[in-house]
Formats: sequence, C-alpha cells, structure tokens
Amino acid sequence: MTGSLSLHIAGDPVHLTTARSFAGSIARVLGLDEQTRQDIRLAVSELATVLIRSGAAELRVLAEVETEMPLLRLETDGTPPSIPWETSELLAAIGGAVWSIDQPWVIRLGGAVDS
Amino acid sequence: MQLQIDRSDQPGWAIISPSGEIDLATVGQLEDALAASMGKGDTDVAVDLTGVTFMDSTGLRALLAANLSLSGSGHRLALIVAGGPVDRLLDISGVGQTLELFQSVEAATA
Repeated sequence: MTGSLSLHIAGDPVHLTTARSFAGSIARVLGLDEQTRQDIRLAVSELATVLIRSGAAELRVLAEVETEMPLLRLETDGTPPSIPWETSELLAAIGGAVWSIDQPWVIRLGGAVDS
Repeated sequence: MQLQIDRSDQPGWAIISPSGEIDLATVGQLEDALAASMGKGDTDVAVDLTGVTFMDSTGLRALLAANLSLSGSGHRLALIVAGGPVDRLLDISGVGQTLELFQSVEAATA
C-alpha cells in the first residue's frame, strides 16, 4: 500500500465514528494487530474530540502510508487548540505503537515518536 | 453507530445496559440514563458495558462523575466489563483501579 489518503468530515460529533473507522481501516491495511488498531481508534477519537470541542468546522484525517513510518495526521483550519493535559496523559499511557504529539497532531503507526 | 441503552431494575439495583459506541456524540444518552437511575433514590447502579464496542474518555468521565455522586450518597456504581476496548481504556487510564469492576451483572448485584 502506497500513497496518501484523507478523510474530510464536518466538525460534528456524529462523524467521530467515521474518523475512527477510517483510522482503523488504515491500521488494518498496514497489518497492525487488533490491540494496536483499538489504540489508534482511541487516539483518533480523543484528538478529534478536542478539535470538535474547540469549535472546528471541519476536520481532516490524513493518512500518509508511503513512508517506512506511516502516520495519521489530524488537521483543521486555523490554529489547533492545546491538548488538555488529561488527554495528553491518556495518550501517553497508550504507549507502544501509538504516540501523539501536540504540533502537528501526528499518530505514528508502528512505534516511533514524531517530535 | 448509534448507542442503545436498555434499563432494568433488580431489588436495590438499577441496571443500565448500553450497546454501541460511547463518545462525544452519544455520551449524553449515558449521562441521562445514569441521572435517571440515580434519581430513583435509594438504589445502587450497575452499568453493563459488555455491549459497548468503543468508549473514549468522554464516557469515562461520565462514569467517574456518576461514581462520585453515588459514593457521596452512600451508594455504589458497579461496572460490568468483559475485555475489549472498554477494558483497555480502563486499564490504560488507571481508572479501573478506582471503580468497582465485575464480569457479570449477577456478580455485581450478588
């Protein structure tokens, strides 16, 4: 699997399940195990929730899969909000295959930490 | 996926059984069900999460708030969890150690 894929959704909570499904599908295609896929879905849900709560009109979930270290990137128009500490704590606790950072909002699919 | 919530009663217990995904879009339904059960007065509350296929921290916060409210009035919140994403969330958040967890409604209400 090569290239990039993107999902554009309105900043409406009803679309969170779509964002999770997209992320889970990418993770499955990449051959990640069930536990990791669950963690990635959780991370995407947490980050997308922060963006929606900040009033984002649109969210974009970009999957870059053509590199050796594929990633998911969450984007929105304007400056994204700070990630609440409790969300950061939760994401950090996931550890292992899923990591997130503040700017840009990137979830590495496979273990490395972007910074 | 929609969230469906079934409610039932046993002596001394209100049982809430959500099925589906709990996130920002659906957590209000869970909060409403918890509030309705707690509003019954002298009863403990059990939430059967075995039918929940996904839950993020919004659901966790709702459960923690209910636990705080119930414990403040001398009642209990029991969660029924049988692995899967909910168990994983409780584990990585560390919250599982502060809530009462059971593997079945029968065990929770015994």
